[in-house]
Amino acid sequence: MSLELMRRWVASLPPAERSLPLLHVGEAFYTPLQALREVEKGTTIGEKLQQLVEQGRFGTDLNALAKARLQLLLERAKGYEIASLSGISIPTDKLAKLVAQGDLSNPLIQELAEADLLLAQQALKLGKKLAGGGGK
Amino acid sequence: MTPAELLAQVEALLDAGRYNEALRLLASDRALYQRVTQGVIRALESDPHGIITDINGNVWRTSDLIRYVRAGHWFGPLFNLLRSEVELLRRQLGG
Repeated sequence: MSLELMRRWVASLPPAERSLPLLHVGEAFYTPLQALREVEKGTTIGEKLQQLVEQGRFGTDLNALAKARLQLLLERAKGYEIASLSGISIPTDKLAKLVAQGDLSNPLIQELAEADLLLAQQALKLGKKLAGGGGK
Repeated sequence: MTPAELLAQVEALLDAGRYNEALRLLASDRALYQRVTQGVIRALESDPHGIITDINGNVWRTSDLIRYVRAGHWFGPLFNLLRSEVELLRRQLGG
C-alpha cells in the first residue's frame, strides 16, 4: 500500500474511527491517524502498520483491542448512561472503570465490545479493499 | 563505533525486546540519548491532546508520557516511539 493509498484509507474512514486504536505493532496500538503519521515518517514501524492494513489484520488479540477502544468510547460518552434491552442502565463512567480494570465480563460491555469490533473490522476491510485495488 | 552504528545496535536490541539493554547502550552516548529523547518529546508534543494505547489496552495521555520521558522513565508504548526516533536519527547520520 502506497502512502497515497494510506491517506485515502484514513480519509475514507468515519472521523470518529480515525482516532480510535486499531492496529497493533510492538508495545502499542495505533489509531489510523497515528499509523498514517508513522508511514509518512517512513519508519520500519510504519511499514509494519501498512502491511497490517493491506492484510486486513489488527495484529493483536481482540480482547486487548476491545479494552483499548471501549475505554476511549466510554470516555467520549461520559455523563451518559447506557441501557440494555433487559432494562439495566449503567453510567458510562462505571462501565469505563470496569473496562480499565480488564473486566469485560459484564453483558453490556460484551455487547458494546462486539458491536464496536464490527466497526473496527469494517475499517480494516476498507483498507484491504483499497490495497487490493478495489477501492475505486 | 560510530554514532550510526551504535543506533543500529540499539534498534536491533529494541526489535529483540531487550529494552533495558537498548536504553543502557543508548545512554552510553549522552549526546545521542539527548537527541533521541528530544525527538520522542517532539513527536509527543505534535499531538498534545492525543492518547497512546499500550498492548494491554491501557490508555496514556501524551502530556503524561512527555513527563515520563523527561524523567527518564521508559516503558511500554514509549519503546515504539523510541524505536522510530532512533531509526530516523540513524538515517540522518548516514547509517
